Amino acid sequence: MKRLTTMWTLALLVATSGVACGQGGPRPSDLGASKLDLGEPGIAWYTTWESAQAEAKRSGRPIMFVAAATQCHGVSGVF
Amino acid sequence: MRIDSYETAEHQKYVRTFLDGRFENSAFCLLAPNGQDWLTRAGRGPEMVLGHRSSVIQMKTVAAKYPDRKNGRLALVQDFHSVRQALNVASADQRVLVIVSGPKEQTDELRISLKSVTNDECIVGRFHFDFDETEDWHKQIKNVKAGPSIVVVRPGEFGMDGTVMNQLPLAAESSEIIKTLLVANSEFAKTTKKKVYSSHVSKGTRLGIYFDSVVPYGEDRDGDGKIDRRGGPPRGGRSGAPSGRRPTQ
Repeated sequence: MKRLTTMWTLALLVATSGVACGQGGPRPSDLGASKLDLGEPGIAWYTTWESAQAEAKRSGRPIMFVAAATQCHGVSGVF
Repeated sequence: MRIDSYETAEHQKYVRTFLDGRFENSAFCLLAPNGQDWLTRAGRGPEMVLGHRSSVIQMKTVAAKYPDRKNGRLALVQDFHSVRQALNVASADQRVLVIVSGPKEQTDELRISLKSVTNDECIVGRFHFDFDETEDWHKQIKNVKAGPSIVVVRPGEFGMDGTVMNQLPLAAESSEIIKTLLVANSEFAKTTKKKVYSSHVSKGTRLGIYFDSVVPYGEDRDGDGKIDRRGGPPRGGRSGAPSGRRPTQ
């Protein structure tokens, strides 16, 4: 449980630090840096619907669904 | 789970499901383990749904109702729809990417045997993992050798390319894989500059970086089923990555 809540906490940090700039999202100039140091553990994301749903059913754990864009104005390498 | 809103038409369909028929860049919702029942309302992000101050508390409350009933060390191994997308996400998160490449029967075995690696406390949350049965993506990765293998990749700055940090046989022992990954992670962290995303976007724009999405950029905020305003490369041209994506499912 501790691991799960830690992961969700990290999820919030990530989700609020810079996702999906665009029409309704943050402006590019508002995007900062990740709060995590490089090499340190973050969220172990599932990146397809199918795999996430399969793991949720296996583990009995709830799903935090996040959809976001991996680009900002077409520039990739951004979440 | 975190999916890319522009990766597939299927993903956009999910977003529309959560946003009452609208399509917007981002969406957030907590779901029951069956993937069907909503535990919260949906919105563009956690703060919109759960509130700025209480979102962590509320998520802890929800999590407490679903204690982990299965061994976390057996959690399924992550996968992406394509190496192209995996590179982009690994670049965005600034993590080393591990590509398991080989024939389906071999990669299917690795999906099982690698659980002891990916769920190891030293590994979980530090890498991204992808499985691929083709070698179409080799043109995006420098120094990759042909043949089935576990390829440890440093993602490029804009996630359009990468460089091999190490390459192991599919039959490598778990302990050897873990050791190799930890060395790669340490090297990556020491030799990579942390991104400031605003500067990253500015630099990418200056360099003409443009990531071609599978579905057109833009939002449908009135929910009429059509993108309100399409994004696209500016006049004069911006080039995208060579396509290594699989057909959408």
